Amino acid sequence: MWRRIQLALLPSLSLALFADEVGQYDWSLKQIGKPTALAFSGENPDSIYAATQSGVVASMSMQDGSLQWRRVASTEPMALLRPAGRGLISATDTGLVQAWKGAAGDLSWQKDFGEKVLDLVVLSSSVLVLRDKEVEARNLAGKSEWMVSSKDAGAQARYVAAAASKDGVCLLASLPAGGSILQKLDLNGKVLEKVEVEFSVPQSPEAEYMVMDAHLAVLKDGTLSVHPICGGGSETMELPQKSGWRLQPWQQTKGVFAITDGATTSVFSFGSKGLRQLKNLDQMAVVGPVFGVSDDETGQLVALAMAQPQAQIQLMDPASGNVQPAVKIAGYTAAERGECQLLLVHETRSGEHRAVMSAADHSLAGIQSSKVSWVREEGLASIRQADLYSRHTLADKRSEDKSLGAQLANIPGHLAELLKAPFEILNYVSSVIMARRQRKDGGLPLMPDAVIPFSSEELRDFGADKLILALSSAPKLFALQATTSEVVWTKYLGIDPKCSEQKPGTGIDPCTAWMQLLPSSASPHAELVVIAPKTATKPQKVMWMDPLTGKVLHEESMPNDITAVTPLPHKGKNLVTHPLLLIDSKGGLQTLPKDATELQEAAGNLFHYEVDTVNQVIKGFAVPKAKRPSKLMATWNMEVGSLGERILAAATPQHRHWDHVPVHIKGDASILYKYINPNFLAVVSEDKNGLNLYMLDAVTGHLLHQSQVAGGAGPVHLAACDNWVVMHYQNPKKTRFEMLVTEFFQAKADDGPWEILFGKQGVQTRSAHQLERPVPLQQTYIVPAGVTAMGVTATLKGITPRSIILALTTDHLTRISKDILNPRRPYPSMTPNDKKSLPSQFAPTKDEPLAPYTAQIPWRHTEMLNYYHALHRVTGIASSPTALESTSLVFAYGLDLFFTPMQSAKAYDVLSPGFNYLLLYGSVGVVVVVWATISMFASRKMLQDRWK
Amino acid sequence: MEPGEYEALVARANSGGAMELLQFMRTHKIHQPELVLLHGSRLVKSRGLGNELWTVLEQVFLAAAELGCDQWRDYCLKELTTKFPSSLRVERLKGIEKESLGEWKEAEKLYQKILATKPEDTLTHKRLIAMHKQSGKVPEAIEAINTYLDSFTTDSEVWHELGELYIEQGTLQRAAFCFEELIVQNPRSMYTILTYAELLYSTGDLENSRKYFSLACYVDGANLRALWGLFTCNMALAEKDKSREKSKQFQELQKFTMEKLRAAYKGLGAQGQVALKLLAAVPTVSAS
Repeated sequence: MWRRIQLALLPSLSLALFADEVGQYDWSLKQIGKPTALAFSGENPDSIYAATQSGVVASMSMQDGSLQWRRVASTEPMALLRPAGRGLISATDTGLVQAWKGAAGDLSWQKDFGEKVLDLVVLSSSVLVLRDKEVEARNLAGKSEWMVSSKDAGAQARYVAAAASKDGVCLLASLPAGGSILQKLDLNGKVLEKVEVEFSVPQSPEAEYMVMDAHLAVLKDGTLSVHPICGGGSETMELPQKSGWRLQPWQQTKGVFAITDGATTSVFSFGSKGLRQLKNLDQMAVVGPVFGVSDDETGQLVALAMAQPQAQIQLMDPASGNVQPAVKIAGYTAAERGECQLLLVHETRSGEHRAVMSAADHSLAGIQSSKVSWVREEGLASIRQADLYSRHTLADKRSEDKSLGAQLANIPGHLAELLKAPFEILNYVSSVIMARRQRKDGGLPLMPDAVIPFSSEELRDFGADKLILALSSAPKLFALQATTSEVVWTKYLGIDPKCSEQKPGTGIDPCTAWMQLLPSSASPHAELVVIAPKTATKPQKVMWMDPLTGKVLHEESMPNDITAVTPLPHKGKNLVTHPLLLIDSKGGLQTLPKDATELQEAAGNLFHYEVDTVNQVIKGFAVPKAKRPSKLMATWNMEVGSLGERILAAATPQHRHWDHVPVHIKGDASILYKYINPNFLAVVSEDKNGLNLYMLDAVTGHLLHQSQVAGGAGPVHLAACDNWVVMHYQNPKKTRFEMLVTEFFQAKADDGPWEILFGKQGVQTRSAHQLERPVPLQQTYIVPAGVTAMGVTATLKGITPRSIILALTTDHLTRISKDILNPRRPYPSMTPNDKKSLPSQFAPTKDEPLAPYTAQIPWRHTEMLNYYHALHRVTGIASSPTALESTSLVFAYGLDLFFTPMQSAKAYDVLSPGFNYLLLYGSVGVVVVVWATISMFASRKMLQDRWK
Repeated sequence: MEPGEYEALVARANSGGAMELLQFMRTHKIHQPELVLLHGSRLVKSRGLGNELWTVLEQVFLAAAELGCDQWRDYCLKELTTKFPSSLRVERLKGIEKESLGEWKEAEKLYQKILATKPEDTLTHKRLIAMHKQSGKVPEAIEAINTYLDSFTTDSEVWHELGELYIEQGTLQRAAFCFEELIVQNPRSMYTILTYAELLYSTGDLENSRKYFSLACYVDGANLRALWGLFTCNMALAEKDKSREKSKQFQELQKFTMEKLRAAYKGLGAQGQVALKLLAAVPTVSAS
């Protein structure tokens, strides 16, 4: 009985683990990604459904944009989303069809067809799944009712469209030789009629076709034609210009569609009255459906949305082509969000219109009567780069006139500052005493689902007042307040619609944006250097921005054929526009701004390396010492491709800009000197035997260490910091994940602390060519899960033991202390001697608190940083120090965002968060008051006694 | 008290040192009421003294009462009465006021009233004794002292006062008893020993007188009063008992006394010479 009670108590105990800490300092943001389809169902008129490029199907509130449910259905992008009965049917690009319940988001059924699903046609009680070779009808419960193969239509025919007719189904199959076959089926899948139709579905890449509401629209050579699928007369229209037109995606707008040439948009109606041009707009516009109170209303309106220069929505009657007056939407412009992509309007019973609009910056905005009521910045679901930047910087201290006259002139200002000082101190004291402080700046926009951590102000006071600067693949720049997730500023960079958005980020792709904080994110004043991709009208450009406000300080156009951009060493003479070194594909050197003198100054001391994953080669270059260096000089070359290897990953030490501890002190107070080399490069390659980890000096090309992991396989994640490299990989042979940690020490005897304290070793600049070979120590550990991203904590002085942050494939975010992933951990005493190969100098001493080596590293539930928030598809982890040495900030990004402060070695330099300051100040106050009162009484009593 | 310390304080009193001066005078019982009134009245007017104000007011009151500055006296008493309405200490001051006005009966009533409430109030007892003495009522004063000493037998000041009063009355035996008490309390006090020895000499107890003079000479061999006392006592004893003159001890004592006296007067000029001549005229000594 007692055991049963104990067992019954266990789950509740584990549920309560740190539950009170959730949302204290951390915030999490659940996102859906770039919307690819929107849907509305009359069953849940307050909700809007979206399917996204991140493979998510979600339901959101029309009112405030908050998520009602979200299902991360697939890793592939969602292509189709159709309301069906009380639920939804979705299909991914790769043919995973899923049916969802509309109210709760439960999965009713799913079927992976393994090939592209062209269309989902919802009939009254079933759904048609249209694929190239087959059309399958399933009822809404998922049961397959019938299927038709394209072979019935012709030997090599492939289906292109399906439509519901009055008493059955029409299927259109295209023949390779040209021409099309129309099959008419009854509702049981029986082919009633098979006719050859005169129009053919275009096969050439120049032509476009689109299926919409039982019609096939074809755009070819400046001719637009609409063919009814179930038979009837085709209509054709010549367009004013021959080329450049493309069909806008059809969004279930009955009888209306639009085409665009990038600058203008034409809206057409089709159906009973034939193909008619309703409206011609001289800008990009999108046509979306208007859902009224009842779904089947005939003569339904459609909505037009235009973004330039200010967004506006217009309702149009497709029958007559009449438009209602445009409603301008305050605070929504094309410059901020790009062109509109998807539009859906819902007319409520009160006659009010609520619109939901997605834009090129991946945002989804809710609009209610000319005002933006909510915005979901879904660009944040595809962050490519993120960094943290401290907000405690004074931009106006950039240039100070050191002359005596100027300093004398500043005296009144300094005096005014002095006068202000007491008030500042008072303010500070009052802010410290007040447990609940007033927010310093309010009114910043928050995401619909965001909740500000309840102790965020406290964290801000500990030096966590930072901005998260993130660059999304939209491409859009975001600056979020780290402690609260408020959006401080955003900047949409714009992109050419012709650019494919899924290109890998190597080299400088003209369609890819790039950003970096220069001189570094640790610098008190940094600039955000951004390479904006080319847009339809503007070429690629480089911008120098103020990271605090997003203001563009300087802008230059980017030269062509650039393969690498690297910051030039800068001595702070001119902090506006940090100079950049651009390297073109032939090794030629250019600078931005042009002819920057820094290149000449740094020539001879500037090195460059390239990890070429195409040719499988690692190359080292130097900027030659010349008056005007114009070309890189190749210095070393390492061809791993010739050994049959393929480069998987490369890493350089993280957090180089922050301090670190150059030594490790053993238990007997002897010192191990860490091998700290900022030019250190770790590269992992794969061959038929397994993985190879190369550790190189990127300046000299010296191979410092090489290790082979037999049986290792990708995916590989690398993290390097200080003097160590950690590699996470899969071992398929042993069906497990492993981590290999390599740590480098100098082969130098301990000469006592004298040199460290008083010697000049620390300040001497040493050439990479004179560095001695380090001693590598290596160990392998088994970890229970795969990772999607790895990060390393950063602290201000690097004294706190670092932790490795791992985003797991199980949607967790956890940490492993570097003290546990330590290659110096001693083997247990019964281990055979041949394994105990650690040189005696590095062997741990008796007093050193190093646990004996155990291969398995278990996940500890107390070290899951994300509490109960599942973090989907984390792609990167950024870390930054706070003013407290014990605490570093961790920001994990991917589909979901998560921010938390992390204390690797517990909070040794701060009172516990629950510390009752009010009680402390209160008790001190009471003591003072009591002391004063008692002193007064004692003095009076003494006087009375003397005068008795 | 260091030499010159008090004078320095007096000099500094006008430039802000009045408070220290008054404190010093209280601590060292320096009796200069005109100075107290001068500086105290200024301090009282300046205020800002805190709790010290009341002590200064009392001090000024006592000085004013003594000097007859009625306004200051009345002002101080009024202030103190207002501040401490039920204080016996203020009541005692009221008694002093009555004394200063010569209203002895009223003062005595006040003192008796205080003593009825607080019989252990030694200051009031002493004030009462002093008042009797001041008003010339020595027997009442002696009675009051005796009553007081019944309770406070170790108060040497009062024993001394009683001794003095007995001497004043001519009852030397009783006075000698008082001084015996004093010697018991402070056996090394030259004043007490000498006075007691002289009282014994006066009452004719020469033998004991000689012993106490000898004790005085033992305590301070250079004390002229002790040496002359011993010398006179020796002479008187020699007069009384001639056989004693021949005793060796007596002769040595007398010789020692005379040598000491001679040594003390040597080199003191004309007065010294007179004393030396007087000593030379002593027959017994010269014969020896």
